[in-house]
Amino acid sequence: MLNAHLEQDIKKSFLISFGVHALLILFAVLTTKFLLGPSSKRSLEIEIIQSSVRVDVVGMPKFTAQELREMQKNAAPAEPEAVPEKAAPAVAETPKEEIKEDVIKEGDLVIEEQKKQNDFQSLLSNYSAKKVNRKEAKPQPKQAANTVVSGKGNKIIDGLILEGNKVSAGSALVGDITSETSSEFSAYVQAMPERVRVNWRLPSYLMNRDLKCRIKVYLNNNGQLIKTEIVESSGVEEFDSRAINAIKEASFPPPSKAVGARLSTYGIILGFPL
Amino acid sequence: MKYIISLFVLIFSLQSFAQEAVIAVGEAEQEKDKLVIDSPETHSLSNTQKVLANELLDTLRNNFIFYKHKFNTVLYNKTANSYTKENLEKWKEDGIQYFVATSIVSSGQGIEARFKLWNVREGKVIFTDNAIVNTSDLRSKAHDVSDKFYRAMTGKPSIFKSKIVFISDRTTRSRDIEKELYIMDFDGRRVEKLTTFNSIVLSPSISPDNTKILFSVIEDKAALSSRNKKKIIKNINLKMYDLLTKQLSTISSKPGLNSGATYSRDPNIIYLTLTQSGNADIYEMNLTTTRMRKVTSHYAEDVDPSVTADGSMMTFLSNRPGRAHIYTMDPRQTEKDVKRISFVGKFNATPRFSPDGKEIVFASWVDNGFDIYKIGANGQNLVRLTKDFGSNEDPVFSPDGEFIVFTSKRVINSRKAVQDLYIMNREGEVLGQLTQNFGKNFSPQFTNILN
Repeated sequence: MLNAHLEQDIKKSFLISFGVHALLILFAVLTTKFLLGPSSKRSLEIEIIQSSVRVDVVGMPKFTAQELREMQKNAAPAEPEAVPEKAAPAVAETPKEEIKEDVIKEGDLVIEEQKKQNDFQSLLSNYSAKKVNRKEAKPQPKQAANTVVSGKGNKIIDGLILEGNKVSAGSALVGDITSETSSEFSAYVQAMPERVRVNWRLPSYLMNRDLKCRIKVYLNNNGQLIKTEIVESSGVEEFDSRAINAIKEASFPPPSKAVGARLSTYGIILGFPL
Repeated sequence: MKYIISLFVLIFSLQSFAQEAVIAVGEAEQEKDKLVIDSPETHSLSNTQKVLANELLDTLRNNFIFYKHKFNTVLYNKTANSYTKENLEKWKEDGIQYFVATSIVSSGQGIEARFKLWNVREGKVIFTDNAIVNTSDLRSKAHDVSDKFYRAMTGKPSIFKSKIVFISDRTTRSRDIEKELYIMDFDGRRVEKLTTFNSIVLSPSISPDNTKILFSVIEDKAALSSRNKKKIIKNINLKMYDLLTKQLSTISSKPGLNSGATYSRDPNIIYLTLTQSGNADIYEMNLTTTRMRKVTSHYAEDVDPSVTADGSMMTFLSNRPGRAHIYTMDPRQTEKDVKRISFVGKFNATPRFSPDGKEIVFASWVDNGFDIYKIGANGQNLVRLTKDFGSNEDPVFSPDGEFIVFTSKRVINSRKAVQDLYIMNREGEVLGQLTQNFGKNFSPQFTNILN
């Protein structure tokens, strides 16, 4: 009887203790969420999407900073482009270099035959005896600096990033990459800053004041702006309104249905500058 | 128990819903401020004084055109007496951010110029100045006033009071090339010759207080041949020119190369290249004690040092990889933290730090000539600055970090080429030519900004 009471008391105490701890955790979470200042709140909540690519410098840049800037300006106010069904990697294609290739024909030395020739001397003689037809690489159409952007100024830019500024997918990724990055949604939203940045200008008196704001952007299925919401204000009205204007002046391509549904319902937060 | 579990599920759901992605747009581009430097009435002035007044105002306006990435400097003929009668509403309507209202009156042979600099948006005068200007001091007064305007508007110093030291071969008359040291204003005006060696002067560097210039010169030196006979050999000696006393002194004349000297922030400490040990290495030298310390110690050639303002990083050229490439290191110890930061380019030359030490500007041979490139001090963000603009070398940042002065060479024919100094902004927009019909020019160096 006494044991039964004791057991009941222990069980009761355990439940009370469990409940109190749960309430404490809930309290801590809610305090973090609602009571802390906006900046610390944001830093806890927000996951900043960054693209992670490796840049290999393989030659000196062919384009000057001025030329690249012009290209970006011309490319940014693009006509809406269809978003590919699958997320395209945010890297430029490596342009094919004009090289002479060895064309190996039937009868030439191939790897299987190499296995039979173990001694180095015979290997060398085989190499020297190898008949290799040298074939001139087809001359590729030469692209002038200003012609990589199409006449309408709205296609990016297969040849924009050439030697020296070459971006490849890389093998070692560094950065806060999430599984989302590879998704269609991430590919779409990561391209948004490019289109907003060309309109993102501040007068001198608002520069270098460490101001920042975050604006939530809702787009419809045509890529048109539905509305904007100030999620975090800079505290300076003009700064916030210039950020909103930069979004309003930007043109976004029509997203796919799934992405459009998500953007029209939940929106996406753009950080100015972060 | 069910309730407790539900509570936890709720908490974690809240947490996951709170996770929202933020896409960073990045830093904004700065809009240009519209700046008006007004043209005042000059009816009461003599013709000479009118010319002086116009030249003063033209110089002010021309100065701010150098900062055209920051200011849109415009002429404004809508108010004749803005100095005494401001029209803020009208200026605001015209999108003017800063308005320099001027009044010019006669003062002896010269003029007295009075200035009020308005911040139109804030509706207040942020700077006033009076200057007595004569023909002899017009340009220095104009640069001084311009610098004050610039500081009032941006809170930072300008290059308007800076000078450029450079080398020119314009006195060459025969086959023997002569290169002497010159100094001029930042805008290429008021050129003054400093040396007369009738020889070849190389690689100048200016002391932090702008009073002394270090440079090298090729001089004859008596030596003994292998058969113990006297002979004259050429030696590259390190000299110092005192801009205040106009006196020359020899700092180092060790056998071989005493060259590429550059000042550190401490005017007593310099870095230079010596070949006394057989191959070129970079040394630190104390000018007071003449004590030397080896900074690089490698069998390859290490030359052409440039040191950050805080003295924590040095960039230099080395042929360690077989070709001339750019390296960085901590110069406070020998061979400390040596890091190669250039990997391409057939030949790289003259790496020079930006004033904040974050960037290095250098020349690199690509295709058929040199061009100017910029790279982060950490080896990242390689950017090309010049292209199709002759062969461009000897880049150097202005002391405010906003400009790069460089030499550009154009071949006229097989016997003749010109090489002039040009200035561009840090993004590679060429602003203009600083020297013209002045022989071939080399190795520009800016004087420092003094507070």
